[in-house]
Amino acid sequence: MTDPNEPLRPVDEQDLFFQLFEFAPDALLVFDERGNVRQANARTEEAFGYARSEMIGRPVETLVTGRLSPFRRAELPGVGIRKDGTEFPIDIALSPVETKNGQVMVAALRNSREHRHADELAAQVSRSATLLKEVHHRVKNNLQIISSLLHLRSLQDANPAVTRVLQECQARVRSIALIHEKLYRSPVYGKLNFADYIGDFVAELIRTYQVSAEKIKVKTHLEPIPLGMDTVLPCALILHELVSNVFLHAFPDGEFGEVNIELGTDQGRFVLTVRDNGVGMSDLRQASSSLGLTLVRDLVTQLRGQLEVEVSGGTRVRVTFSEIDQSK
Amino acid sequence: MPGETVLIVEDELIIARDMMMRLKNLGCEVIGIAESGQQALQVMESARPDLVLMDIGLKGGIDGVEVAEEIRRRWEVPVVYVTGSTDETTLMRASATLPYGYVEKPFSNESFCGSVQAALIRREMERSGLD
Repeated sequence: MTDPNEPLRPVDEQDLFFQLFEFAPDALLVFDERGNVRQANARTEEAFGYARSEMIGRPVETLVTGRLSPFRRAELPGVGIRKDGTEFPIDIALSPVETKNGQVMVAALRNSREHRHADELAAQVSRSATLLKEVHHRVKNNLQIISSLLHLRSLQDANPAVTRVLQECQARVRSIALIHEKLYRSPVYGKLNFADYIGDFVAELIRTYQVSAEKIKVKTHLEPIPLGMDTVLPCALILHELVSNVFLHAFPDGEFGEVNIELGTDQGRFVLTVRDNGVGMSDLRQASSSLGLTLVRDLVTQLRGQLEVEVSGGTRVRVTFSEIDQSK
Repeated sequence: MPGETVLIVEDELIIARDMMMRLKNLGCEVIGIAESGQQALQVMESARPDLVLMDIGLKGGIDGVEVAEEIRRRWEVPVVYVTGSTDETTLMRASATLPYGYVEKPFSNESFCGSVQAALIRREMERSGLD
């Protein structure tokens, strides 16, 4: 380790300039007034396919065509000629340099096709980011239109059961929107941390159903698990149905209770568990025919997963699943 | 809340109608629905609502952030954004206009009504403080 109190050692300038020349990202050629190559760096060997010893003394025109003389500072296009005779477009930056042995010219050479390709790639990435932003915005706007239609429809019906069903549908739409939001913000393209989603989702559902934190305690134990879009959408909708069901039905008449949401792994598969100590599904057969549980069954089938429902001192629903292979 | 006036700036009329019904339920009066930034500024020339609900991606040449900035600068009327735009650049531009709230689409009744009420209460408090 360097001692901070140690005085700074002087820089060996010759060594420094050699290193800068040798490891420059551009091909560098030094040629004299007669047009013979005097020096070349590692990048030039790589770009032209010659060993350095083969280039030194060779007329520069056999490597580069372009208006290389008279000696003056210039930037110009040219063509590089490789050892195998193939040609490639280059951008040439020329700088005359005075040395004690006479004037030399330093030529920095950059493959303009690669350069342009990098520019095109950067422009394409920028266009894709703009497009993604626009699509994300439109998806959320369209989901808002669906939600608004459901809300406007609910205002036309005085039946509270219908209103409740339409409100539940609006909450489902918001769950889907939250997935889009998380995917859009995810640092890994096309994947999101499902544990992170669950945290935000539960907070949103608590607000939606105005769940009192004093009456229903929500406990989570979540392992960070990244999932792709094809897996995370059914998982999120399953979670929505299960947790909504707890908030709406498990603790009637303002009863106190607790709900546990767990996400983890078991023998290489993912396990999502929602457990409550509420009244339980008093009639499992009736519950099986409800839309919520029907959706859960369909979504678990879509995931190629397993569903276990246990009613004893509350309800425990366990879903075991794997990541869906998007290529199949 | 009853009697407070609101201007909705939103180019999707189904969403605008949804907002209008929720506002009516809160007792607010909707003085108009503007579908573009230009239309919003025209309304502001002749009316002075207590609150403006502003979408960001609007039809026409100017977006909601530019309109909000103009409204703040010229009339000091509070603005709450109601939008699906959540990218960093837009959020930073929007924050610079000192909005009274930011409701993300698709919104729940709680987040929409909560944000509107909070904005109107803050405005009322600021007004009483000034008086």
